[in-house]
Amino acid sequence: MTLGSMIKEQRLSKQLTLRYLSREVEVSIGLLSLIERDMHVPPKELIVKIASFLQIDPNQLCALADKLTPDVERHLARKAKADPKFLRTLISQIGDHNA
Amino acid sequence: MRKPWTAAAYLMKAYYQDHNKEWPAYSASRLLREIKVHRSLYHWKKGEHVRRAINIINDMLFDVDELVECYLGIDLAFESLANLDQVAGAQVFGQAIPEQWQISIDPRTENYLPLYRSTMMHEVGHLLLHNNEHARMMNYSPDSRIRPSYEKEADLFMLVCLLPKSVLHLAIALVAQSKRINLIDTHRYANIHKGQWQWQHIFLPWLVDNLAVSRELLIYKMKSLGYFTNETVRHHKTYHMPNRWLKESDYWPLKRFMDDILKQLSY
Repeated sequence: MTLGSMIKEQRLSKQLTLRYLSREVEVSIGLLSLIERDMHVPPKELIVKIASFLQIDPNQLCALADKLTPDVERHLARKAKADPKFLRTLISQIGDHNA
Repeated sequence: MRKPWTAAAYLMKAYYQDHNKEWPAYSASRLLREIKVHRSLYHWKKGEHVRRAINIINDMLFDVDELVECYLGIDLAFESLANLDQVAGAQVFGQAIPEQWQISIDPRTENYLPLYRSTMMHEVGHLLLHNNEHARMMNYSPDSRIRPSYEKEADLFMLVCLLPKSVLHLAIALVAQSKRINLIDTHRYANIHKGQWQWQHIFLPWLVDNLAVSRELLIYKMKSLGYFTNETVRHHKTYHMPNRWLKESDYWPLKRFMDDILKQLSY
């Protein structure tokens, strides 16, 4: 499942047209078409907006785009500032998990 | 292979039924029969008949995006097709790929709703009529001089979907009656100066504004019905005609309210 295919699947499951969604999330229909065809990776703010409108978990959608939601980013930044070793520990744990 | 008009009628009837409505072409035919006194003269009961006629015309403004994406499940993409202009010898606005059940629309159609609608329905015509083993990419280029038979079939399909004959007759009769124009004269004098003036200043602007079809489509339909000569067709292509569909912001919502239309008709 890609970012574009997930957005498209959710949109069509709610019987929404590309045009309607483009107006609701305030982007051009051409750009949204590119996003759905995985020919353009949108900024995370737009991903969160689309997720919110389509009632999808924004974290799930951002993960498909290899991005973090703004709140997670802020949280990580705060933790990293408070504990510089935090990120290194986190990355090594992710590495162990994926291995 | 179904004939284009049969396929179009089948699709539109089913689509409207799915929305718990009757295809406006049937409603218009029935209303025309009710109000017809004798050939080409109509007797309108102001309240009831006018309201029904306006509702029928309003119902013609179906959402082509919804029909394509949600009802037919066609994969819709928006991308530039300008690279095909040279091959076609004219601007290419749409492309159908039957084997992928996909339609591509050029963003150049975005600024003019009637063009957008006709492009979309033309491509739908290709998908429904030409989805066979010889399927290939088909382009919509209305100004192209190359019009093979399958392009003409898609054009016919589009015409039936967007501008059924009965709805056009009803709309013309409605405008004529409201403006106190003799309906017989509307057709009889269409090809002389008086009629050309009426069509240029009254009928065509109203029909474009309320049916969301282009002047070109209307002229083509009037010619195919035998009302316009080639000279009249040429005349109606020469002047600038302002209409409400040029700005994208007018597109949504598409429906007109009865009061708007009643005001235009001077009721």
